[in-house]
Amino acid sequence: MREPEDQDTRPTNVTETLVASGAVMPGALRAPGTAHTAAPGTARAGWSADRAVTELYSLHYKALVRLATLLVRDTPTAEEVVQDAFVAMHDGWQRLRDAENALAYLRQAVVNRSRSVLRHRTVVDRNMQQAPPDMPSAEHGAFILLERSAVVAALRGLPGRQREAIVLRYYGGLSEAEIAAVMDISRGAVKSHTARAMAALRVALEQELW
Amino acid sequence: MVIPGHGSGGGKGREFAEFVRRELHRVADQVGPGADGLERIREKIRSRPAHESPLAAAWLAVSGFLAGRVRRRPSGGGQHTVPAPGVTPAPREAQRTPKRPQGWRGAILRPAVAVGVAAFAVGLVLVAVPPVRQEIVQLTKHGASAVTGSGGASAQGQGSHVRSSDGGVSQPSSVTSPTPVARSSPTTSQAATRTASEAASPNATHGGSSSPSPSVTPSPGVTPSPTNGRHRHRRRRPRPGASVSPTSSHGTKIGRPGVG
Repeated sequence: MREPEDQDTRPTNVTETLVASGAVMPGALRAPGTAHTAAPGTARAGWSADRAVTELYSLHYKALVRLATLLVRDTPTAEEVVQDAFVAMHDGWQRLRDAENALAYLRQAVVNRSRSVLRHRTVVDRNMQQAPPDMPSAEHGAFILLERSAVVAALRGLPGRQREAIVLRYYGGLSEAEIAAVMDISRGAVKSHTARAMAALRVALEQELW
Repeated sequence: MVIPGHGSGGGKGREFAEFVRRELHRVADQVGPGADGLERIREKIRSRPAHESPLAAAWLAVSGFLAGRVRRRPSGGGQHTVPAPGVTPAPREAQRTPKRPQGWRGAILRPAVAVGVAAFAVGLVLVAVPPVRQEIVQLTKHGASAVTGSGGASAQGQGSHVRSSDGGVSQPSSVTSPTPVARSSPTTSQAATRTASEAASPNATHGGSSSPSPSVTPSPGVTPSPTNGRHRHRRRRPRPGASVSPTSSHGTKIGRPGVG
């Protein structure tokens, strides 16, 4: 696995070029069981929208759902988010016309829709404060699995942008430039978010374990 | 659990980053999405009415464009647009549209009012500042005297012949009255003024007749402006330590104490 710190450098060999161009997804956004090179026809522009959905689903659906799960902390909601992103990608396929662009579009759509979910959830939680405390919500069971991890629990206490930067970098394996494109911020902001998030994670884990 | 890099020397951040990466992958790998994801995506794509046919998509695009145009039009009477059912209304700031004039009246009236207010403000400032006000008064008087003087010159020789009570006809005031001379040189003594008046209009001065005196009767040919006649009495009011200057005949410095 590549070091995220090295991803800012210019790729020097063929594999690195493919990874940097997005034809091969590094890290978790590369579908398990697939080759490190691009799937046949992945970078072709002649696909129909339905075939693009099928191909990209087989390659990246599971990783995208896991990415969204780390962001929204809920697997069913993460699946909904990713499916809606695929539907949006299907609608805009005439504009994308490329698997590389489509994957970048999917990542950005997942992150944006995860933000929307979290925002909506915040509003709902604010308005449901009068609910009985002994009634667990339907999403509570899904949270338990993730909250067992101290890192994920500490990740939950981070601000949204910092959480996104950490997940995209250390789970998605994206470079700073790719994270900047997904989050629609500058590379300097990505560095800042990542550094602050790591410092906060370290402090949170130290307080929890000691 | 032991946090890598804690208390160690170099590579502490790298070890901690590797630890975070491992933890994230370990947790995320436990997540197994459903196998029917592709079917649900296709079902969602099929259930979208905009993509059943290109004709429907074109119709939706055109109707959306027209709806947007209609929504941008200013609503009359301050009516608010009613959001569609199921749509959360936007905040009040987002619902604000830029104000537009309500027609040619609004388009003309607002600039006219603005220009009028600006002119009024400038005039107010000019009147409120004393030096500017004096300049304006002087310019106005100069202009008025110039107009009146030309009128008097044209009227020379056409002075009214005032008929006295004893049947005599007094001289035209423009010829006989030396008052402008006396007025133009205030330093002239009163005796000289009186002598000149007597010589000019004996009826008016000594006769005690009811005919109006030429010096009193405002005549365009004699008196440059009615204002001068009015200020004449004020100028003759004795003021201690004030020497009458020629400019005082215009009345500009009369009211100011301590002049000279």
